[in-house]
Amino acid sequence: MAQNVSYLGMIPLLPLIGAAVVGILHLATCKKKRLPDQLYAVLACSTPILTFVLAVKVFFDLNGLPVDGRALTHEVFTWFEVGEMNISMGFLADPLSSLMLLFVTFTASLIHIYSIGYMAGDESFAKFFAYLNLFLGSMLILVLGNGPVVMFVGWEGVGLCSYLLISYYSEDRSNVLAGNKAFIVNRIGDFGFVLGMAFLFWAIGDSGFDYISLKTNAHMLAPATVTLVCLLLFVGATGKSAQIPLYVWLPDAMAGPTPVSALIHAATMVTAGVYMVARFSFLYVHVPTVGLIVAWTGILTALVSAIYGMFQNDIKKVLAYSTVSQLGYMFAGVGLAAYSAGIFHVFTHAFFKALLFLGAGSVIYALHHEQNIWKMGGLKTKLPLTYKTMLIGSLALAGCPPFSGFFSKDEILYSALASGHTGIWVVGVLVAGMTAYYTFRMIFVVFHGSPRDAHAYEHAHEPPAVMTVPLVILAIGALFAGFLNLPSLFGGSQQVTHWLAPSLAEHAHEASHSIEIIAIAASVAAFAIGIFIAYRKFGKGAEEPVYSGFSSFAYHTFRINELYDVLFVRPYKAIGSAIGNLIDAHVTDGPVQLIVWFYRQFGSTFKLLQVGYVRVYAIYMIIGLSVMSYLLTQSFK
Amino acid sequence: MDQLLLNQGFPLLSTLIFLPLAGSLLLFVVRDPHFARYWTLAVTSIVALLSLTLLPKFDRDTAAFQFAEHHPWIESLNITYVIGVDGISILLILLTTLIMPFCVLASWTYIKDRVPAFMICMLIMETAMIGVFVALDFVLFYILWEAMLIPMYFLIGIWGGPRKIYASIKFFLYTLAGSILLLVAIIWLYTANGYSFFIPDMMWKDYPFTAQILLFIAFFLAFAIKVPMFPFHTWLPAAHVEAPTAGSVILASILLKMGTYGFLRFALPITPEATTTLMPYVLWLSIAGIIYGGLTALAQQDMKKLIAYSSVGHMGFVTLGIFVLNIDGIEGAILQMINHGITTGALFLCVGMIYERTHSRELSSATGIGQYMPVFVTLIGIFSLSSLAFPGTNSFVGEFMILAGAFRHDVPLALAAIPGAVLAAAYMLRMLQKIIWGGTNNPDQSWLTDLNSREIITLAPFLFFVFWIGLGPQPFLAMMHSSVVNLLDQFHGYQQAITAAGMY
Repeated sequence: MAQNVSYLGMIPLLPLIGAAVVGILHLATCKKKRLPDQLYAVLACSTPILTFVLAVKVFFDLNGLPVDGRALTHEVFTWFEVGEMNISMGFLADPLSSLMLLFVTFTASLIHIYSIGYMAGDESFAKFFAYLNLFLGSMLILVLGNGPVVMFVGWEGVGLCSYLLISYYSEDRSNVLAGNKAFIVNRIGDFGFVLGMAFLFWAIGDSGFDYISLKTNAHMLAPATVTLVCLLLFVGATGKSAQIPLYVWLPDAMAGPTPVSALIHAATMVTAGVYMVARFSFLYVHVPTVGLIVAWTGILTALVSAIYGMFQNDIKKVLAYSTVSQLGYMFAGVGLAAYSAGIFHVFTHAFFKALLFLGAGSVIYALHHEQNIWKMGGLKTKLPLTYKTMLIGSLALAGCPPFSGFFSKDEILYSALASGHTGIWVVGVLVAGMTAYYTFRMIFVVFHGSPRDAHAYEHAHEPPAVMTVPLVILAIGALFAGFLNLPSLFGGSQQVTHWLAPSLAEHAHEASHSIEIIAIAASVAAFAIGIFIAYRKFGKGAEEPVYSGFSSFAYHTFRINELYDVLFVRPYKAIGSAIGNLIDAHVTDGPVQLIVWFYRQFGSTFKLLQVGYVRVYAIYMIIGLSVMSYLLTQSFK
Repeated sequence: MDQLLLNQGFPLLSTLIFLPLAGSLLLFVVRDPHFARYWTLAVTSIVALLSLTLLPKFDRDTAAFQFAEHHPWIESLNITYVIGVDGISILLILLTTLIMPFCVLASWTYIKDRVPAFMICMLIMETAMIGVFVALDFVLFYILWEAMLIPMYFLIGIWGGPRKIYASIKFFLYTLAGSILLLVAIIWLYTANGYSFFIPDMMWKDYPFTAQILLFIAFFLAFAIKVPMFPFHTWLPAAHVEAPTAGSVILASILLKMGTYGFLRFALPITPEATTTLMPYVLWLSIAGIIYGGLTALAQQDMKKLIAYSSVGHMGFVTLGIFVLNIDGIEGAILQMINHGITTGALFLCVGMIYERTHSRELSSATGIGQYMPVFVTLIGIFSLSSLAFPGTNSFVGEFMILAGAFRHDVPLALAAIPGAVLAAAYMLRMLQKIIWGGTNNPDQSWLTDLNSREIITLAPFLFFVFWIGLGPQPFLAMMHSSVVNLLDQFHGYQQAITAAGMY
């Protein structure tokens, strides 16, 4: 039975209070005497650290419970209740959400601290931290919500914060447009989420709309309803987690400050879609066809964005496409019902991708906001710590054993092979090679060779400790996190999979060690080939390539944005402006104007008689009197 | 008259109605603008406080009309002065009385000439609006219904913008034309009910089917124009654009609710059979309004017009909720009426605050003011989020309930309504983005001052209710629950009786 613990409510509340306090202080003082930035830094960083402490407590409390009873709940209040409908604002911590909770609060704490250095001197330092706290609060509501409606509150909340933070450097209009694009594309995805939620509610919502009740009542659902609900929820996931066809917003989202890219657009928010599919594993497991759609969408997204990633010049764009690509792997995992493998990749990815973004942030910081990799080079001597930590992150991303990314990615690929989805496996291995290639292309161009911009190189220096310490901590995570789920082949016991088991509806794939060895060998070979090609092309310095033909097409991301613009954005705007400027005034209002015109004509006809001369009125009078007297004589006959 | 729980002791409702009117008399004599402002603020505040005393004594467990008063008026025609409150009207009355003091505050510096006359119009307006929500005699209702038009006509026509004459006449004639048939319907009902105008006695009667259809059409025209439902909405943008801030707020927050209130109070109980027959058309018209309003709002350059068209969409959700005829839908619709009053009222107040500074309502002239007015953009940002039904704000609860009700009624219908939500995000964000950040060539408006404390006080209560209803709507739903359950029970009982009668 689920245990009720009241401190669960504090976890999302703390950062929200932090956001309110920092935000109000900022609003109250920003026009007068500004408060010291240190005050805001302390206030804003204390809440993620406190939530991390609570997250650890949640973990140990759960660990102390018997395996099949590992759930902590807390119902804060009844949100609304009408007729059969009863929605409560409540939280649920089970093995799945507690794992999410741990790495979300952990990376958030580090990134908050890092931001103190990165954002130092920014004009609206406090505003940035208020948004960051608001984001964390929303993310924790998303993770801890006890049902789809509460999850949706967090879901929209993180979307809002993402929007606000992408547009943060608002002097540049394209940043603002990037924020808008993110919000609206996400809203299209949310449309699917809302529909899926509504169908689910319509089918079994009356007997409780929290995960525990839904899981119990899921057997009452018709198979067609399950298929529909799962498909619609996945549409929501493609929006938030940037999958085909809605991935277009994430690369643009790099317009936000780099810590934001690390926290929101790499480690936490964008994995919400994967989390959602795992959360609803009790539905997805019954519809393998939908699972296959999820898996193929994921692996194709991984492929396409890896292609884009090989031809980007902006260091953050390279990392952004690699995020989209890694998210694709995660969906391939959860789509093939290897939920724990997908979630484990979410977990390790949070470490190494946050690390890579923060490392990129250090480079950008050192070079005074230069993001073009072809303006960098030879930085490993100037930024040795950043180089080393980023190298660890890159090895993890590229899937080099024994770094964390190797184990989690390999588990997904192994599940694909073991469950007989060879096509997905082949694409997955190919993408692994491409990942190694573009990651080390970035490393070689940025850190090796000779400096391309001598002036910038001269002035580059390692950032302060407040920024480098988080890098080191994350590097340790990126290095060792994989050992938490060591497969039996390496003498491990898959702790993470066992930990997650009560939350997920997963059946383990029974396969021989020989298949596992094949999978590992292929992954390692792909990694080696990828890194070898990258070394041959960029290892000893290279000049900026001129993109033409296919590479230019890939650099422009296959012109998908232009296509969407023509297909959707313009027609939408055209319809709006046609209705707003023409139809409403002339068609809808037409009958009204017609009536007015008719009355006016009617009136002006009679107006002709009103000439204003006494002699004419005298004639009217005579005519009138004559008619009257005639009628009178007639009636007296 | 068992539907009435007669008021014992102090006649609270009558006081609420006539206090503003009485207060206006003094302003005919004392013509000092400053006094007029303080006096009107005092009168509306007293009315607001008095209306709050309804709450502890309001019985949530009955569907009867409470605090009822009953006095003969024109005895030869059997017209009586009878008023009362039930769960459907109580929240609307409170919305009216609570919003009025803030409309006065919003006009404090906005209205500079003929202040006493302006305040007289506001006070008469309040009397008529409260009266409409409590009247239980059809003649009394009709008089007050039409009486509202006159002060509003002056508010737009005298203190309005450049095209005020066109807007005020269009508003007046359009809505007046709609109500003419209502009068015919009232007279027919009078004769059919033994020469009585008492509204509760007219409900749930077995009027012939044809008569019901005709009555429904008469009701529909009057109320659909007021709501306004697509395609009867064209008077609204014109009126909103030209009206002074307080006029826009009253129009959006309260006058529009009278149409939907009319549907609940008259159309459903008096013509249930016609409602059942014509319901699908009304529902799809609501959907059309949601989409049409959203698309039109997307193309607007004038902020007031944008919000006006968004109202067409939001009120489409309300009529959708009413006519799905289940408890989720109707309670959601009533809650959404209140929510729209709060959110759209606040948005119009915000636009008014920009207008007072820049003397323009064009989006282009307000671009990028976020950096000069951080408090202001925070507030308008929250109200915009409420308008697009962001979870945690008031409109989310209302829209969620309406959509749940729509789903229960008919799945394709609910599906058709959802694109409206995407549109709402698109047009509100477009506005927000321009206001908060703007573009590269923002006009230099560093002379802009952020909100003063009077303005913050004006907006604070709206903010409070956005989150209160958003996070804890239960007290609000509890107040309407008995009346809505009763309405639905009677409605379905009537349907069963009709079917049973049809079988013999």
